[in-house]
Amino acid sequence: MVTWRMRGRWLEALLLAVALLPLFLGTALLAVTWERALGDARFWPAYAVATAVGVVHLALVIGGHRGDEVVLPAVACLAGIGIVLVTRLVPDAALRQSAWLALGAIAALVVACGPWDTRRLERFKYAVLVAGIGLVAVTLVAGRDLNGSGDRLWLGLFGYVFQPSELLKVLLVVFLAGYLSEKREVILVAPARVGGLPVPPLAYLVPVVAMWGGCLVVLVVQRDLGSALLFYGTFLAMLYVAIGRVHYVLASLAVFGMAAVACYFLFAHVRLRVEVWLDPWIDPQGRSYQIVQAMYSMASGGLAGRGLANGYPLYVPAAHTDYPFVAFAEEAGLVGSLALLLMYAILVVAGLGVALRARDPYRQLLATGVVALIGFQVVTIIGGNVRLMPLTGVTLPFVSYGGSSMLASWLMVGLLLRASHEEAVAAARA
Amino acid sequence: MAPQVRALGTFVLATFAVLAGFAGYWQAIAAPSLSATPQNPRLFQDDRRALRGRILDWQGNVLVESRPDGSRRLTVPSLGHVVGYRSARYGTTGVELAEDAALSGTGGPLSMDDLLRQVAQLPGRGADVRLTIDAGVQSAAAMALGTAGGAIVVLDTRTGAVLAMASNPVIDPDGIDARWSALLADPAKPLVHRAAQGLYVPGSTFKLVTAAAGIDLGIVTPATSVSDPTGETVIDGFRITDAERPPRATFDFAHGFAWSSNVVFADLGLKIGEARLREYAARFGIGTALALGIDTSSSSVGRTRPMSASLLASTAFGQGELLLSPLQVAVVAATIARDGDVPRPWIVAEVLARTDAGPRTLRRNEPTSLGRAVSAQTAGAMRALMGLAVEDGFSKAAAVPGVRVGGKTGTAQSVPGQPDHAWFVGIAPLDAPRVAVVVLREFGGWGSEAAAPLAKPVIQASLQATAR
Repeated sequence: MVTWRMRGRWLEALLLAVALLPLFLGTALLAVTWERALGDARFWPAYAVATAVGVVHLALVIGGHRGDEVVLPAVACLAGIGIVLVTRLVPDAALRQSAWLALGAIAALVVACGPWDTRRLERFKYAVLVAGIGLVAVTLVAGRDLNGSGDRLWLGLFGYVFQPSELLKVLLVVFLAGYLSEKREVILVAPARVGGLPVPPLAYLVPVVAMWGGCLVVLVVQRDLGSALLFYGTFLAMLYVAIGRVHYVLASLAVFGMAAVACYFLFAHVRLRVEVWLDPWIDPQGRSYQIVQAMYSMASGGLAGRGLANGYPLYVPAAHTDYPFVAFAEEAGLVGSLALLLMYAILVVAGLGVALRARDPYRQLLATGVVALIGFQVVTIIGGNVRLMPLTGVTLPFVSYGGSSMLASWLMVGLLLRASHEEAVAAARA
Repeated sequence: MAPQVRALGTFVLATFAVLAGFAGYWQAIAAPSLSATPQNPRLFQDDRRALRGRILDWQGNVLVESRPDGSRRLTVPSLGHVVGYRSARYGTTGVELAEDAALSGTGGPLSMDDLLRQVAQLPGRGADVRLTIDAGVQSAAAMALGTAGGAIVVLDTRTGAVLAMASNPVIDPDGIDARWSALLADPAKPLVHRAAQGLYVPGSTFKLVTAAAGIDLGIVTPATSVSDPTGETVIDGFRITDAERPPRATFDFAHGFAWSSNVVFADLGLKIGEARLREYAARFGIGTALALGIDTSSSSVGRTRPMSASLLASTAFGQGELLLSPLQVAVVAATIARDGDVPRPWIVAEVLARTDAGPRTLRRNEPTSLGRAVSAQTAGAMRALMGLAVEDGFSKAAAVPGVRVGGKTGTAQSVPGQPDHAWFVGIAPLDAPRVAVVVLREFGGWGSEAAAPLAKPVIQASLQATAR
């Protein structure tokens, strides 16, 4: 339970003041370049984001939150860069983006400060699992295709649309943390031997097969390569942290690798992504147009960048969803790209710090899962942007345009803060 | 679980470092070449910010200028290939590409004026590019060519400057994006700049090279007597026939040149030998791309080494594996006009900054020599041969009243089942040459009938333009 006594959280306040500089500087730069007043309606979304972050901080202070004080500033910095980028790329969408962010911030606040306990999530893990499966099932039946790609990845509700795979990520981490913290002892017993060959315990085999199958469903039926990769990667990371057996992880990875190779040969859309990744110059006017434009965009940024609103990131089709890193890199330069990566690194380190300080295995796995998910998501999308790997339709957490992703990311921040707070309270009692 | 958490953290951070490395590669190492890719649409955006410079003919007539929307207006349609197109999707060619930095003003501030504009964030002003092209000669060449496929090239032999360069079918660079797929699909291949990049069998125009080599080596003189009673010969089972009918029993080498005897040149080629023939061809510039300023294709004697006797013989009279561009043939003629000195053909005369005080020269190109191909005496003898070909030979149709013209026709095999390519190359005035003219008509038939007559009005126009 949260103790309703105010706490200073002065480190967080100080870091926030620095972390919001990109938001305010970026807005000022946009105002100068676009020759608009700072009070112009176009910049309200950015101010809304700053306000939302400030409100979250104040609420944590008032609520006497004892959790980590670096996570929120790191997220605030990224969200500030995100809203400036969305304002610059698709000004008309910025307001909607800031509304989703506010919603996400409130959700995070409720999760972080609400009168509940993560133990409840641990206890109801199978309910969470059922909810996740239900979500997939509903999407398969009633999913809508919003971007004309032929993939029905969205759910409509009361006139709003939502991408269920984003919420599914959160449910997955919550379930796996509960399942693995409970079963890790069982998994770790010496494997039974059948005819001299070690047979992994059922508690290991069942989730591996289930995850593998589930990701295949996501990949094959929903054609969502990025999400499948992300789900499985997060699963492997949590499995590894829970049981510490590298060969189990490698075996699971090999099984997934085989499925991925099979997909390459079975599905044209996967093959296309891989082919244009390997050689973008095969069809720069057609199939690989986007990736070639992205290369031009990054090159144009150079070391120092073209300056905000002074480059041409919009030559890259769907830059605000598919190539946010590239759009940022063009106008902020290599200096900006590295700073953005550094900010994610700070978030990862802060998040893993929460995990390391946790004494409770469930909270430790929860924090680890959240960080692994965010970290892998960053690697997947930025890796796709810089051609480390084929591009997949994964969002850049807190930066890309996309409401569902924003909400899910903030929910995870909430979980992280919650776990951190409960550990601090538990440590104080001990 | 703490060690695993740390290991996971190390893994994620190491992957981030790889991402940083990739970002560094694209934004620092690969950036210059990617940014200079002609297809990069950013090049066009920079244009719209700057006022792209104009392209002028040598007298200052405007050939290309920008409209307010940034598109380019070409005033002399036949220069489509020379000035080139600028397309965000399909890239940039021609002078627009070669002088892009100057025209767009991205080559750095060109004057104090530019620097101030840059500091004040005003649109920069690209420099004007003045070509060596003469709009009048260009129009005469385009008119002579009409709608026939082929090319006409006119060089000022005194400097190597290109006075006219016409190519058919021509392209209209303006709004080429909309017509791109049609241009690509067109069997006539309009995107090929025939004058500088088209490669053709030169036919008898190559006899200029063979004859010059033979005379320069002292193997023949114009007066050398040759015997060719049947008008045909057989080398290694390969039958070679002459075009002159009826054949004459004996005549001198000059007559053999004027009436383009293949038998005489096959024999001469065997005497010169492959190595020396290749060496003379290389001296004339064949085998290297001519540094015109816009893209050119390098002409070639052929890849087969060593040549069989029959291949050497047919190379000597202009068939074999020879492939020459019209521009290269013009350079051969200009070399003979210049007493054996090979000129570098050039098309950009100078780059002019536009300042508030008027144009100011930023860079001026000077005539340069590519070296010596043959002695002055050889070149003089060659001019006499070319004069004879116009006075009493296959090149009569190129004669211009009141001026002595030297020339050589060519009739080159094209595609099986199609008419031959018709060539003519000429220089004028013969005694103190100022211009070299090359006419190529694709599938035109006989050089003497299809190409030589087209040269006459072009020679007249170019002599007028160079009279000052």
